[in-house]
Amino acid sequence: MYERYGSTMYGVVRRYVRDAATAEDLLHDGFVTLFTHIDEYRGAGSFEGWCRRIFVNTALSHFRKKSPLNSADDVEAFTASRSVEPVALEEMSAKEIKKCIDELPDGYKTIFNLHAVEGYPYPEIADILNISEATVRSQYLRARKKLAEIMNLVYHEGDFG
Amino acid sequence: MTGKNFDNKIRGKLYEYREQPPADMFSRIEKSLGGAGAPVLSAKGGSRGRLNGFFRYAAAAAIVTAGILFSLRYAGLRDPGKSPATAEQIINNVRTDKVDAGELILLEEERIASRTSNLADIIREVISEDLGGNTVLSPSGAGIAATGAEKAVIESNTGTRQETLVPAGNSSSGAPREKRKLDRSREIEDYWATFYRTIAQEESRGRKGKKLAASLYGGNFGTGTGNVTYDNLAVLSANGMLKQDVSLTLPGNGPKMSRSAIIGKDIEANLRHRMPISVGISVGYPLSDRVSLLSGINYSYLYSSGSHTLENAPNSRRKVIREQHYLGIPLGVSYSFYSNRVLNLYVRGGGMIEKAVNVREREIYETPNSGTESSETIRVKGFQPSIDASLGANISIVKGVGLYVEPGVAYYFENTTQKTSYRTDNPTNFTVRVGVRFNL
Repeated sequence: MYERYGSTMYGVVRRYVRDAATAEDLLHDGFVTLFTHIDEYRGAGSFEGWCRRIFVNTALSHFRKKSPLNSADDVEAFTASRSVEPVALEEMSAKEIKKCIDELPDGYKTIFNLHAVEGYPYPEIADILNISEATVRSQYLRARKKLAEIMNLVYHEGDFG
Repeated sequence: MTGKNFDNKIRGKLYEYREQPPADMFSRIEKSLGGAGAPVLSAKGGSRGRLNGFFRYAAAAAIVTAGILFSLRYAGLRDPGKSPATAEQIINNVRTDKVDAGELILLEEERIASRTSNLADIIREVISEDLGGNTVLSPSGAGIAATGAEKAVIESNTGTRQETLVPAGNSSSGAPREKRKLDRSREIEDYWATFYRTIAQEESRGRKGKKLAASLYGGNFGTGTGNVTYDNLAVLSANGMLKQDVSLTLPGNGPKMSRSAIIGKDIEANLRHRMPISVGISVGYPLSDRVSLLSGINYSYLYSSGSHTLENAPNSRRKVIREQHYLGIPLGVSYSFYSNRVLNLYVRGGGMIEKAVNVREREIYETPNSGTESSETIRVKGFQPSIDASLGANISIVKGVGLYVEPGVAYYFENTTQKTSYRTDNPTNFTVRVGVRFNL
């Protein structure tokens, strides 16, 4: 099971934390949880989806200590940037996009990963993170704008500036 | 690009994003599972009362132990006179107990799933599942005896309390803590073992197609002949090509001579064994992702011919042709050491037992003007055992069908009951087998 899902789940936690050491700890914790509670899986939905939820929860537990959304509020407002051109998104690899997401503040990154990548709806994210749905929406829109700006910077100038 | 479109494209790129974890990660996980237990998930302190830091451990210890105590031997039954303790009291009373980290995580998951951080609610929820909706309350340090029906104070969902009997053998109420943990561990292990076996079987079927693989093959086509030329009749005699009463003259033209009498005669003779040709059907049953058990049926055709000139008739020849038909049952094992969607490389080894089902010898006298022919069927007793090993490469051409080639080597054990052939002259010989493999 580790051979099958290890690299995928490591990719999941790496999207949430930039630091490799922290990501390794989360991967470790997630698998211990998974193996200990394997009998909890009742067959509803795919097993991989069930595994992802465990690892996402593990990553979120890490952030709860840091109140990541506060750091998102601290990010200074930026003017509306041009949206990401279709060709940029098509030509950038997953690794490059992931590096752009790494540049987001933790709060933005968390909400963006939960909604855009994992597919959690706003109400569920609000429940998970113990914030209001309105906050989730506004944070997500800011995250998306910020990410678009970063991706444009990387695509056109080759660096994060 | 619209926001939704952006989200979808990001999701398409990143959902399957992977990174290789450190090489020692699995050993760390194994160590944690087999040692001190699983790590504690962190919790955020906040208005909903979530615990953090030291109190997280203590509260979790209380929750777990409280849940266990309600169904273990620490019975409030023993002192029914005391008023039952609330969940909060139990938490306080067992705060210093050691915690089962696995159960801690369970309750943390429960908390996440139930969207509540009220520990008392969680205790009641967990305990009520064990006892069919009722909550068993007992004084601190109390539990339910492991054997026999015991008295317990039950608090129903409506809040009413009554003393009742808990039947013996109730797995959640009567079992000692160690047995419950052991049963639970076994259940987890069984579930995991079954699940992993299912995954492995699905992967095996997905990679190899289905459970069985059948193949049609042929071997040693056009790989040459073993030509041996001798200048006397001795070799023909040694190979049984000269019968006891062989004649060096045309039939009817002279007396037959004994074999021993004609050996040494200055007669040109030659003997040729062709390399055997084999075809067959092979069936492979996968024992695991990499190992398959092989069997099937094999047909081999062996051809030998010997001839010599006739005395005083240099343009005439006597020829003996021996054709042997063998059927054999191979048994072997293959091990796949590399496999992807298209190519599968493997080694195969095994043996075969063959039986000569038909052996015919034809004797032909050829002259410039005429010829005579006679034939007889020879019964060959006994079996021909052999062993072989080969390296194989199977290339998938369409789904479920592949072409394969297996160069290898075979060794045929000496067996005096068998007629001479290429195999008897060359017991160790190189083989090449090509075939089509179908995944059933």
